[in-house]
Formats: sequence, structure tokens, C-alpha cells
Amino acid sequence: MSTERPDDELVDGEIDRTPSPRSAIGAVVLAAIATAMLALVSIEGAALAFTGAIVLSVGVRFGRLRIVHAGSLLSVGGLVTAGVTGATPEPLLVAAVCAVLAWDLAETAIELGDRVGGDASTARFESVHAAMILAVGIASAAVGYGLYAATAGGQPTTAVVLLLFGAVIVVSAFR
Amino acid sequence: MRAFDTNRWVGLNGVILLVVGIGIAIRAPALVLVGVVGVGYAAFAAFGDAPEPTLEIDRTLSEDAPDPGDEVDVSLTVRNVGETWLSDMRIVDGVPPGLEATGRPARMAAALAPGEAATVEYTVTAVRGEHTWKDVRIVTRNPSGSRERYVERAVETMVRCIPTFEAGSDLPLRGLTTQYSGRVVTDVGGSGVEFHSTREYRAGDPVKRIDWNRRARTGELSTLELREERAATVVLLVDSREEAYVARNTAGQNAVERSVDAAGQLFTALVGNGDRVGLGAMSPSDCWIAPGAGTAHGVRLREQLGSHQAFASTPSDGKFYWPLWFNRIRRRLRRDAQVVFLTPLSDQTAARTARRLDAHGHLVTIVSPNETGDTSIGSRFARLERELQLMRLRRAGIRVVDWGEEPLRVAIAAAERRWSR
Repeated sequence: MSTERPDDELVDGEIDRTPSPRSAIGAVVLAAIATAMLALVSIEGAALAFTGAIVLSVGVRFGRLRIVHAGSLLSVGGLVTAGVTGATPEPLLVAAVCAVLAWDLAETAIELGDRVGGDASTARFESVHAAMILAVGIASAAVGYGLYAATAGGQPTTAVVLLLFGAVIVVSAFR
Repeated sequence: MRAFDTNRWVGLNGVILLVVGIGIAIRAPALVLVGVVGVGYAAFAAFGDAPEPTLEIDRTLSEDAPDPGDEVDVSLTVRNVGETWLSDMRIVDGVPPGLEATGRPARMAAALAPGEAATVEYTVTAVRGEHTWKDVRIVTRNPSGSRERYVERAVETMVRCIPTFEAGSDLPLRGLTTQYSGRVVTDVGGSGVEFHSTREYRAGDPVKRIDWNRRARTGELSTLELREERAATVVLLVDSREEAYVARNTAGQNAVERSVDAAGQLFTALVGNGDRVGLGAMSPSDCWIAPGAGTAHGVRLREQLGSHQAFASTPSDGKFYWPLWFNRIRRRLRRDAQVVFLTPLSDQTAARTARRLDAHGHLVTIVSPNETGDTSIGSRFARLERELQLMRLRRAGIRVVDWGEEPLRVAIAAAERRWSR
């Protein structure tokens, strides 16, 4: 498996390189939902996530990947803040899935704009992609919540944590 | 081509560890759960490689022999004939460099289940010449987009766009002619229309040409000499080196396109006048049609002008070696051939070529599309440089038609006034 990424051969010619509008709007909406979810449990976290959503919107509006990353990190900061202030897990899980989806859609919008142009026909692809990412989010959130519900009856959270670290190591070994 | 990492999800593991770490430190199970979501995505990102697509690609054109300026609708259909899901594909059609997709781009993103097809439709505006589509470029990704594969697929499509050149720009030729009768007025006395001189009567001169007025005045017999009209051999030489592809702005035609248009107009008029017309290009790709006359020859010239690579609207590949080219063209030019050189005079080489050819006895007329502007200091400098070159060429006795934005025949008429002074 090669890891070197060659020069992008698709980015040439004169096309409209604005990010794809559908994914871009989706990203902004999802970032807003994540903020709203956090607002249910923690004002501080929601404030951070709101800043993140604004930054992400700016990034996706101007097609700047770095700004999108920065906005997403702020959203993660919001999640962590909410968790630290003792939020209940349910809204936090929904917010996490929405935040990841927002980042993914923003990144997709920018990448599509760069490579095929904002006005190309991409609608079907975008919906398939968003549905896939959403499904993965829901599935992993469900697994996590199931574990949580099962262990909540007195089992130490350490078991969950160790399980998780095992999973991370396995995943890292995959790459 | 092999697949490679896109680094799309890089940093996710770090974020997971951070979130989970904080969650453990402060004993917040909610944060650990957020970490689980992250792990789910990390596993998803590690899952699967970018698929090698098995595709059936089909490209159809609404018209494959359009006139210049016509809009051609192109439709590219990509069908997934393999077994694998292609959940993430970017497809870029290889539109020929001379044509540009107008309106919607010739690109799409698609997600294709086995057996499914996607179509992208776009429009190109036909430009004179022969255009071949290049490979379709495709990028596939795995579902998470963490791995990517780049492939190219060739689909043969060609469009030929040969213009009908309008006739009517009658360029006055110079006095280098063949022995055949034609339209070019020469300095040779004989039979013709225009007065040339008178000379002493010699037995056998036609009675019609005896100067009877003079006979009445002086009693001497003398013969009128009239300017003979002959046909010329003209070689139209188009400068289509890379340097000649200059344009005032990106929207309009470039100098080579204008030169080819002019050559088309000129040859139609010349062939109509019975002159022998040849065609050559000052270009890396060799192009030569020896002078000839007649309808079939006219058709050949038109085909060549319309479709040869040397006259395309984008520069031909390859390197241009002036000495080699010049020797070749010198051998090809017959002694009695005069040259109409179509060049924007964008550098010294064009002017040098004109002077050399003129020195070798092929009277040269330059038709020079002016593509210099005055929008920036650089373009103003280029304009001055070109004007200086025009001046030097004129001083060397070479006729120059400086062709700005007006129609060619107006430019020729203006130049003609200067020549007759």
C-alpha cells in the first residue's frame, strides 16, 4: 500500500470551484443541530460549538479546508466541555454524530468543488455519501449506548474504557 | 494505478484519545461514549480499499462535423459493469484542449451500484480543426474516502470542424509571376489592358496595337506596349509556432486562428483569379501543399486549413527548429513563388524569416494580425516592439498589412493606399 499521494490530476482546467452547495448547506445545518443538542445540556459547550459552527460555515463558504478543520475542532471542544460539565450521554452522542457528519459534508463539498465544480451533477453521489456516513455514526452510537446501558448497572466504566482502547489499537493496526 | 491514502481522516485517532482520556480522567461516561462514536468512524475509515472500477464508457455527440461556432452536445455515460459497488467516483471527461465545455462542466461525481449508469451532459462550442477527445479520468474512493485510486479510460471520439472560408479579400500581389496569363499586372510589355510604353514598329506587330495618333502626328509607325497580365505563384505561409499563439484577451480569437481565417479568405480569392496557390506552416508539425490551381486543389487547401494540426487553435506539440525548417521551406519554394506570410510578428524570428525569404528573391507580403493591446505596461511594450519591427520590415521593402480589429479587406485597402504612394 503506497502512502504517497500523487499530484491531483483532476484539478486542472477552468471550472467553477465553489464548494458544492447541497453538501455545504447540509454541513451548516448539521453543525447547527449539534450546537442545539449541546445547548440542551451545557451552555458553555453550546457556546464553543456555536463558534465552531460559525467557523465551519465560513470555511465551507469560501472553500477553505483548514478553516473547516478548525471549526470542527471547536465543535469537539464544545463536546468535551459539555462532557466535563456533566452532560447526559444521549444529547452528547447525537451532537457527536452531527459534528462528524457536518465536518464530512463540508470536506466533501470543498473537495467536490475543487475537482468536479460546484455546478456539476453530484446530487445522487452526495446523498449516498451522506447516508453512509450517517449510518456509520448511528451504528457506532448505538453500539456505544448499548454498552453504556449494559454496564450502567454497577460494572466499572474501566471495562468499557479498556474495550475502547483495544478497539483503537486494532483500528490503528488496520491502517 | 495503485491506490493511495487521502489522509482524510488523519487526526481522528488523536481526537478520540483526547476525548476518551479526558472522559477517564474526570470519570465522565458521556465523553467515553463520544469516543465510541469516534472509534466507529476510525474503523469505517480503515475499512476497504479504493475499488478498481470495471466500467463501460460511452460518449455520443449530437453532431460530429459541425460548422465553427456551432454548439455540440456531448453526453458521456459511465456504466458499472463490475461486481463491486462504486460508492464514490469522480469522473472528468477529456475535453479536447481546443474545445471548452460551456455552461455545465464536463465532470461529475457518481455512486454506482453494479449495473447502474450515470450520464453527464455538456456542451462544447465547435472550433475549426480536428479535435480528438482525451482519456476519461476517473477517481474512485472507498466508502469513507480514506483511500483513493486514479484510473484513465480511453474512449475514441473525434469531431471535425471545417469552415467554409468566405472569399473576397483580394490581396494585391507583387510583380513576381509565372509565364501563365492571369490577373497580376507586370512590368513586362506585351498584350494587356494598361499602357506600358511605346516602341518602334517591328514587322509582324498586330495592327491593333499600332499607335495611330502618333502615326498621324509624325508619320512614324510605332507600337503600343501594354502591361502583360500574368498569373502568380503564391505560397501562403502561416506562422503557428507556440510564440504565435498570442491574443489580446482570452475571449477572442488568437493570432493563429485569425491568420488561418485570413489564409482561407486569401486563397479563395487567389484560386478564383487563376493564381497558383500553395500552403505552408511555420510550425513544429510539418505542413506543406505545393502550389497548384483548380477546384480540386482548392478543396485540398480548404481541408488542410480546416483540419491540419499545424493550424489548430492550440499550439502543436514538439520543438520548432528554425534552421531546419527554413532550409526545408527554401527547397520547397519554387524560384518564381512569392510568399504571403501570415504572422502576428510576436518575436524576431518571424521578421527574420520574412527578410531572409525576401532576400532569396521570393517577394514577401506580410499579413500581420495585430494582437497587442495597451492594457498593461508589458502589452504596451510588446506593441511598441511590434511597431518597430513593422517599420524595419517596411524599410527593407517588404509589404506589410497591419491587420487590427477591422475586417481583412479594410486592412488590405488601407495598406494598398500606402503601397501605391
